[in-house]
Amino acid sequence: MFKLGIRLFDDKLRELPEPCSLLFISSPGIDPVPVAISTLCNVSRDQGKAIYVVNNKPPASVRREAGLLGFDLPRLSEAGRFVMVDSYSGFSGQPSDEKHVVGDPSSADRILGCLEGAGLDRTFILLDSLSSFMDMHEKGLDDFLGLVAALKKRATVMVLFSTWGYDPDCVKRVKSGFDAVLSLRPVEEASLLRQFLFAERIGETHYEKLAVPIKILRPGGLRVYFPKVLITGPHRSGKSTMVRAMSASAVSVDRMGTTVAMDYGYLDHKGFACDLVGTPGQELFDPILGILAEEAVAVVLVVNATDPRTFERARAMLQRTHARSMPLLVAANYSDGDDALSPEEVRRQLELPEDVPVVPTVAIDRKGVPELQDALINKLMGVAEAESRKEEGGK
Amino acid sequence: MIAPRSKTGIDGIDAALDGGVRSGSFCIISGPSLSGRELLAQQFFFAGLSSEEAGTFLTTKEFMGDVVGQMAERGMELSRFPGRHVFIDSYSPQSDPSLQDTPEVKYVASVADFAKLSNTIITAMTEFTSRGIFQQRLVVDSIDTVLMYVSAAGVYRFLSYLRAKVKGLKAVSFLLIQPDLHEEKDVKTIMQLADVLIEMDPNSGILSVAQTGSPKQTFRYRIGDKGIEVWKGE
Repeated sequence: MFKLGIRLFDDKLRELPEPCSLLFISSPGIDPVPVAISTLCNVSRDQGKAIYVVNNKPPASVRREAGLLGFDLPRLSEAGRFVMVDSYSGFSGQPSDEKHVVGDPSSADRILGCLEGAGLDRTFILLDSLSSFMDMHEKGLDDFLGLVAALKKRATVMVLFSTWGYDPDCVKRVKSGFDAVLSLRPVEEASLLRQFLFAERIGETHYEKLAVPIKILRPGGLRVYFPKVLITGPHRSGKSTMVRAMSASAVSVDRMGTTVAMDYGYLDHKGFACDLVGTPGQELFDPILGILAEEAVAVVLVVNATDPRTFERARAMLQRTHARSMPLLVAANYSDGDDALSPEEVRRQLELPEDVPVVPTVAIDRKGVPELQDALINKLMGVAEAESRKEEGGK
Repeated sequence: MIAPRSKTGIDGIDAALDGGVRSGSFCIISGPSLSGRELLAQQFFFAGLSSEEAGTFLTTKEFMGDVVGQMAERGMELSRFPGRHVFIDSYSPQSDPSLQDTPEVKYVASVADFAKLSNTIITAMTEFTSRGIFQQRLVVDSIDTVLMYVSAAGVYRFLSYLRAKVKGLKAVSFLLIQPDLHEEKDVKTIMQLADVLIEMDPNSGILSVAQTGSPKQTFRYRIGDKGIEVWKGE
């Protein structure tokens, strides 16, 4: 099956019988192509031969976008792992540089014939897109669904479909023709529009809340993206160092080594991306803690494991940032100190429940930082997983 | 209470529309080849920039540089308004697919790729609002190219979406169409979306303006050195 690189989705998609078909729906105003290219290039690199059939733009623009996303399409093509099928030039009348060109893109049989020539058995095929096919060739839905059914016997198929105000019955028919339906939708949060990937149906299981926020990086491709993770903790617990240690890039607003406004970092780890916002630790900055915590999706509390006298202050900061209402993690920093408390003792003294991970770290040496990053991702994804389990349990 | 108006930049038309086009209006300019409808749209675009509004200009059948040049020849220097206009060029990539986006020019490889096209238009417009520029205009020059690639029903669905988004942003949009290039029923399908319809006939020199809820008004017009000029009577 197609691997999106999002474990929560991939685990469920893997349960589908092979080969199978996947419908990828996008709301109007969202371009699904970067997600599709990321998925197909990952498949091409890790799983097998991938074929991109494009019917609504010149193939050169797909190649260009793949390059911007950081994928080495020429190398994959040279290795025979990526094939482009041009189903656009025959329609637009433009010349094509591609080896596989569909002479009459309005004919599903011709597309199938061209795919036969490209060697379609046991491959991963992306059809971009069904909505364009329907819009360009009136009454094309039946032909297209017939093509998908024929391909599915021999290859794994993913189809892009933008919902441009089609008749609801038509959309229902489209969805019923696939083994799984994912959708890319905008969600407004605190007046900001963010893109979320939803699973609508995988096999026979329908979902409403199985979703992750995503972002496209150029270069980098598809990432699960959490816009704000707060890093807080008492003065001199090592928050700024921690933000830098967790980040691919970071800046700090400080004076004489003490954070006076905020630290900012950008984490990019195992297919996940987050903006990290570090707070100042001194009490005189307490009035801005609540502001910095607004719209945060998780909190990492950094404490000095060798100095439990600061734990009362740490508890007060958790209260000010409303951290207990969000996914919370604790970095027990300076854990290499002779008198450092164990993670269990840190948990006990901070009065934390068992489900709050306490990770021993030495931020300045990045010791324990990968484990903290993993714990953060697991915690954030755990929220989505819990929702999906609730839905599966309710069926 | 009269809804806020956006001046078109052409006095006679603004007078006919009680001071300009209502915010959120979806305006279609219809006329045959060489009727001056592109010039009218360019004047409308420039008038917005001159009033400290922002503008997004989609060109589907001319190089962006040529449009900028045509406007400059008539004294409409876009360089006076840096950071307040974006061109979306879906024509140039046909001859050079390697063109790279810049802050002021975004390239879309094909008008048939509605997902990319709509994403680029809406992203450009919402970026203006995120910068605190809430008055803005959109020019689509033209629908003709889109209708060449996509069925009228498909174009209607796409434009319906665009219309709703433009209204949501309280922006004003001008879309150009040359009816004699298409089936009459296709043109009628598209025209249903118009809040304001401006029709230009170069043979008779008549320009008519119809707005929802107002009687149709007709003018004489000509293309002068500075652009379209309209007046009542002979």
